[in-house]
Amino acid sequence: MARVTLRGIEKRFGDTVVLQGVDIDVPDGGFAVLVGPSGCGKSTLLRVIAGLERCDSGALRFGDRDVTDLEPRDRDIAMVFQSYALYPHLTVRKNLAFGLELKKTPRSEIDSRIAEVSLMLGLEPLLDRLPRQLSGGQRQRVAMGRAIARRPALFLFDEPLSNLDAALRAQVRVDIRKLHDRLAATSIYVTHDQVEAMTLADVLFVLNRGRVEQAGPPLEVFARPRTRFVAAFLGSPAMNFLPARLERAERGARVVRDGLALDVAPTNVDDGTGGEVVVGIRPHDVVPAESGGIAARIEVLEALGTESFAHARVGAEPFVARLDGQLRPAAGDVLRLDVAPEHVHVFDVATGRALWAGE
Amino acid sequence: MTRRGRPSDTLEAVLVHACIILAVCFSLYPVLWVLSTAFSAGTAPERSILPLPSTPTTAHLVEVVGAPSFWRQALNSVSVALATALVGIAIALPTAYALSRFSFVGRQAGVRVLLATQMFPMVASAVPLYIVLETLNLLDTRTGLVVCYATTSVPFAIFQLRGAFDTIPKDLEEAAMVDGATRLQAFVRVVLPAARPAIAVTALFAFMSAYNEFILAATILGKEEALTLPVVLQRFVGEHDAAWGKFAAGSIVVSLPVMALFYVAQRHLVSGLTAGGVKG
Amino acid sequence: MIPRFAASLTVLALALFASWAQAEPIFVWHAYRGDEKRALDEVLARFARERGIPVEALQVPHDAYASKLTAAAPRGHGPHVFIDSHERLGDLAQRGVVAPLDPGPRAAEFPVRALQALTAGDQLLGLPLSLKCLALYVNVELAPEPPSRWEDYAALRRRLPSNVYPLAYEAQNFYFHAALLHATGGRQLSREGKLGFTGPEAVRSIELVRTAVAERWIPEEASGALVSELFRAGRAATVVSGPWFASDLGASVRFRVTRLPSVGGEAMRPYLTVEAAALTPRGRDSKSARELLAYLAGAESAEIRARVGRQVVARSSLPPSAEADPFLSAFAAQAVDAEVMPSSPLMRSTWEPAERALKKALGGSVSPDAALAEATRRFDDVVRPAPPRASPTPALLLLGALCLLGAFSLFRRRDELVPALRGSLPAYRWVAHAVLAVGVLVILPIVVGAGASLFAGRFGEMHYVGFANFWAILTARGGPLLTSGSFYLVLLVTLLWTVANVALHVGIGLGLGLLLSRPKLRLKPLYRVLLIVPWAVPSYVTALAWRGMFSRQFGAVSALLEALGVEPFSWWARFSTAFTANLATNVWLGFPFMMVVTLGALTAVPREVLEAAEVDGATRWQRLWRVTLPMVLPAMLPAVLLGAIWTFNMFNVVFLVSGGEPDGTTDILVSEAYRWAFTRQAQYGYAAAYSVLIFLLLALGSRLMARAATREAT
Repeated sequence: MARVTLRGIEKRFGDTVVLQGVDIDVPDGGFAVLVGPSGCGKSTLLRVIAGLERCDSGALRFGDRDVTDLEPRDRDIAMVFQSYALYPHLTVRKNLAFGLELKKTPRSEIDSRIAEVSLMLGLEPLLDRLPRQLSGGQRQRVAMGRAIARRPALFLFDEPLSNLDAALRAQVRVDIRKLHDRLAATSIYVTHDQVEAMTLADVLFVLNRGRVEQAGPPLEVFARPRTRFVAAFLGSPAMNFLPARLERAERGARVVRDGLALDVAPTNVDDGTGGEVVVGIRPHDVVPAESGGIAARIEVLEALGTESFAHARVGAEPFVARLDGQLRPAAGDVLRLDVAPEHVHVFDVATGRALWAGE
Repeated sequence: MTRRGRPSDTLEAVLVHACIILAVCFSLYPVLWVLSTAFSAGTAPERSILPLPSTPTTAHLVEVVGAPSFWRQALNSVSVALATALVGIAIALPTAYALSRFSFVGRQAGVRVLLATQMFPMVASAVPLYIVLETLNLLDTRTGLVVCYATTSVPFAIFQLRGAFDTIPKDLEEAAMVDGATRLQAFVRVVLPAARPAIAVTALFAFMSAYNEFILAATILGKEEALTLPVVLQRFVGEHDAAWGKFAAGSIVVSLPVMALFYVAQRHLVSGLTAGGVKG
Repeated sequence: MIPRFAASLTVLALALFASWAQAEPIFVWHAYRGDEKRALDEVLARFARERGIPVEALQVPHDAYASKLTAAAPRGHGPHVFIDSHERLGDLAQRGVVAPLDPGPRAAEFPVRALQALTAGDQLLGLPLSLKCLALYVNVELAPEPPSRWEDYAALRRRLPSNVYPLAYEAQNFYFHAALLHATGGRQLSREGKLGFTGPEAVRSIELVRTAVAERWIPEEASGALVSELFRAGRAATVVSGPWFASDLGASVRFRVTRLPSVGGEAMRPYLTVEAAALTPRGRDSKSARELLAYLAGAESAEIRARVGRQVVARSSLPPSAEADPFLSAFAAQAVDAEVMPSSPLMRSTWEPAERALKKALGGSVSPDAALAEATRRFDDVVRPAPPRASPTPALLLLGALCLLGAFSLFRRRDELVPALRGSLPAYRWVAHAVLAVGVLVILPIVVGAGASLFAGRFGEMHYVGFANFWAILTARGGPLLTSGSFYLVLLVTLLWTVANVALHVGIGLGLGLLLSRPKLRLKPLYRVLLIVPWAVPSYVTALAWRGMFSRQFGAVSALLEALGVEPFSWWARFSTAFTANLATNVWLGFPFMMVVTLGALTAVPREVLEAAEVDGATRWQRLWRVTLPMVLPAMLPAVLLGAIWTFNMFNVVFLVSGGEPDGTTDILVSEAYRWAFTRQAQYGYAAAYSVLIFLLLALGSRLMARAATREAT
């Protein structure tokens, strides 16, 4: 098992810069998720870690080994591909055995590993089938099994669930986490799905335009997004962003705009002079209150039963609020909402960075 | 798309079959004439529509097959063609793979040159080729013939195989490389098996072109036991007259292995060609 | 263990001894078949037995004989001894294939005429083996007393039933016609080295044949096969042919051989060819080969060749068995009254124009005078002097400058090039062997061949002429630009050929592909196998089968047309029909490939798309035209492009089916290049220039096609 350390990884394809100075640390046995929109460089980064692409500069270390210039086969890794990449001419059993045979593992050892893995993933009835005779979910499990059978120091997952239907995806997501807990192998997982990112990760890396925007435990990243991009990317429905003015008061700061006046927790703002900012408020962080600092005029109410989403306007800006299922405001009503000061996020208009104290 | 039992459907099916059967007649008719000539003691000096042998006889066939060196020469033909297919494919495979997977200086130019080799008529390049073979000491040998056939089959084979490799997902060999394979191992153990139909069809083409060639073979080979069947066939056509019956009988014997190969390969023919020639 | 070891040692020693004892065999090449081959084999076997010298004979296909000899012998490869007819030996001697002989005291053994025929300058090129000429085969039942005068055939015509021809021979073949021409006082090659098939004698010889055809004395457009069939079936009373004809006849008909009739009091004088055994430079240096040569021509061999091979042996005194054989003595008698075929290299260039003129004039499309004038022009065109020597300096300077320029531009781009090259190194390891193999065996010959286009003259004595060959081609060698045989007209035909073929290939292939891809078609695998049959049979076989099917007399196509009420006509007399025949053959050969390509491309059309179109209200035709075809055609483009290139250079079909008839109009650029390279004075440089032009046209064409396709796509 190994700790993974990436320092200053850069990668260009021709004139396009895909990765610019990526630093990543994954603790031994940790489950890291690289998340970001398509084109953010997360897959390329994974391929660099796998050794399928060479980085133009930077260094990779697995534990104490410098693997920057090693071939994939020498890195002691296993990878689950989005397409599963099962060898079409080999049976499931041979697929599982492929890597072990290349390493000249003794036959008995191979057999026992296959037995172990197929028991773990329920592959026994499939062992003598060819990949084309399997369903999507079965193929996914075989791909996982192929990785597990090798007992690598590091597991890499490249969007392994994106070809499954929603129900199966939810189940396999849980299975993967369980497997990880059981194997305790270092894993790096690439996805664009924030639910996968949130549920699977020990440590989350949000990538944007070839950089790590923010890294940390998922809940922490969720609670304190460092940039407007991270804030917008995580959470569903997405965070509301409203242009506002930051005003300094003696006991703290306030954000003010047409239809909005809220206190901001001191941890969420720096000690600058204030001015034009963007305020971010998650739909789930608002509570109806007579004296609430937000005045939202309801346009449409989506009632889902246990909860409702109110699509409203604050001044001229669109605003989504999550309400309890019992609350039934009608279109046109003006709803007063309040937000705890620590849930009021404040971002710089130009850079999009959170105005955290000390930043 | 499925509607059952309408009379217009039956009519349509009949029409479709009629069209295809017409085409089948077109494709078989000349071959049947070759057959008829092979089994006729003489062609009838009457016009006839049906290719029926006049005075049926197996004399031609017996004479052709019974010639002292015939089986030896048939073996030559088959072994030369097999060797051509093997060598040609072996040369073409890594190149086609590199063209499909790597980007390198000269790649585009190389593809253009390969296409260009298909455009230059043999008329002008045959004599220089002979001189090259002489320099390499490959004249008068079946090896020389195989070397020639194989290299001339390489450009087309590269096109075919590159197309086939393009359709094989990169993921496969990457998975193999992550699983501990070298690039070469991944190519041999994963990519090649996945490209099997295309390789089979390309090999069939190389086999066929070598198997049917006679100009080069007649020029290069200098010993009776070394000759290939098309050269033997060609000898039935003389300066003033030709033994058409024997020529036809010989043609049929020569065609049989290729027909058999086609029959075996026809299932793969479509998929193999699709992966290759169709997809540029 | 030890006995086994000893045994193997002994075997080894024996093998070594055997290989030492076995002298190098003498190689003999010939193009004999049937009885003649049997006789030769017997002679060689006897020689080998008597002298203890191993001999190895190789029967070479006649079509490949000359090219094989000229490729091998001058470089010291190939046979020690070979057999060929005298008129080719002169040419072969010029190419260094033949080593002249010293006749010595044995000259008296051979007829003077035969030795003269084999003498070029003051050198004897070979020892005569046998004489070949035409004579008259007579069906003794139909014509117990054959006409001794051409004019007597009118009477025979009246006597015979209407479905029996009094005379049959290959009237369109100039070798046969020459006998008539000699009777009218004409010559094929004039003494001045010009085409002799001209003037009133030539016109008269043509008129004779035209009348004979019109009066139904002789069948029109008879091929060798037809003549043989007619005679065997008792439908030709007499036949003009050579000794080889007898082997076809067997016991099917009672015949005898006699002299050819006279024409207007003059004897018909067929060509006499003297078949000779000659030494190559390799054979000159071998005592055994010289011995073999003498043996081959000697009395003992002559006896076998006459008895087994039924040869008219060229000996001053015939073996007794030959004297007694009426067949051989008839040919021997005719040989006395035969014209020795001129062995001048110019002779080879007379055949094509003379035969074309003959065919044209017999076809009746032009007057004999016009046809003959055209033939003279053609002959002069072919034998015109090679372009003068040019200085290669300007071209070398230009080449040098280009190399420098290239090197300089590479040097300037070195900063990007060097790292790019370094990055390419792993890929080069994958392609190196193919680059080497294709480079040496495919590209090098092409480059050398292309380079030859700047030279003129025969092999071994070529000289640099700059772009004179190209200039001559592009200006139609000073003649009218759109006359038959000019580059531009041939190019037009080639384009028509390519477009028509590709259109039909794609059309038929697509149609059948669509039909075969119908989901619920029964018998699909069977149909598919049957439809690719044309692809599996060697094309040189089927091309010849097609030529037979278009024959006017027995052709199946003619029979079909007759059943439909169309009077059979000659397919080779007009451009349109000859072209159609070629086209039909090549379409037949090529459609299966396109069908399979279509089937493949159709797999690229997802079912859902078609279903979506159906839901959108598209009719079946609309679905085909608006959905299927637009999706299938781009996928087929590379195959179509490759198919177009192959068709453009499809030499086999044109050569084997129409052979360029009528009058070379159906020739395409490649077959024209082939004729320049091999039949017309072997102007290799000129043919190479043709090849370069073909290459440039194809490169340009495919570039344009690819560009048009990408424009379509974007």
